[in-house]
Amino acid sequence: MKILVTDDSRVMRQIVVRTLRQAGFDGHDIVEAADGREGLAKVADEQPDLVLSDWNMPELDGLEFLRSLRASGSTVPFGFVTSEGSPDMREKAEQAGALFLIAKPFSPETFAEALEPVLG
Amino acid sequence: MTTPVLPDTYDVEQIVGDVFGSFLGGDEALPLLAAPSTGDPAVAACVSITGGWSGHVVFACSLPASRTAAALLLLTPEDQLADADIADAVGELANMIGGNIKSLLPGPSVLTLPLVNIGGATLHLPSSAEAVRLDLTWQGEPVRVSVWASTTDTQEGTAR
Repeated sequence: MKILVTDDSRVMRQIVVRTLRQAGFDGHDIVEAADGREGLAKVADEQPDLVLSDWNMPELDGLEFLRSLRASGSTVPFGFVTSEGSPDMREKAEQAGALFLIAKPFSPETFAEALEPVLG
Repeated sequence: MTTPVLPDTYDVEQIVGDVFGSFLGGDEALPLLAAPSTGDPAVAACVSITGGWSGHVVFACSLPASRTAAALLLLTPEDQLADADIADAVGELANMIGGNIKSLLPGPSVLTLPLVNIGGATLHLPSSAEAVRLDLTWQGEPVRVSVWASTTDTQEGTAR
């Protein structure tokens, strides 16, 4: 499967990719984007099976990224990996069509629990 | 109207401990320890919160601590780090700590992207007052996390 990791921090993209591996999801193709706008282009070009996205990013934030995907007809599974896990943001994420919201800092166990239903 | 209660030193310490324990707690890393305040650290990253509560969260540390943190986060030897890597690393630490502190504050509110200052002038935050300060030692180097409340915010909270 192909996973798109979208975060404006290269440090965090590396941590997310490392945590995917630690959670047992190695062997998947990883593509990366630095913000929501780049993420939209990568979804069109790469046709990922899952999108993991930060919320707070320049150009196009994660929520607008998800809303743009859904408005364009894309149903790609989408989950947030963000430093903000308040009930208000979880509700907004769910309403926009996100499958889950993983709050930073996270553990491989958190990744395994959230991603197992998608990646199997 | 009830006055919102700000996170206290204990709350901030828990958050910082979670962030460091999750991402900077490798075998070579020493734990965070409470420490007496030293001078202004050379590296600072600031995120601002605007909305139900307004203010700033600042993560600051010495240059050696910032290099060690970046090396551990990127799994890259310190001598191969660029300034952009260090700015990215401390900015992300501020983002995680600030985002978690924001979750304890009255909302809705918005968190800004981090602003990072490496080895420059002291960070000044106009129209703000320091509400919480946590001075720590990590890897033998100073680390400071502070929460600054806007003094022009009508819903200003009180530290508990």
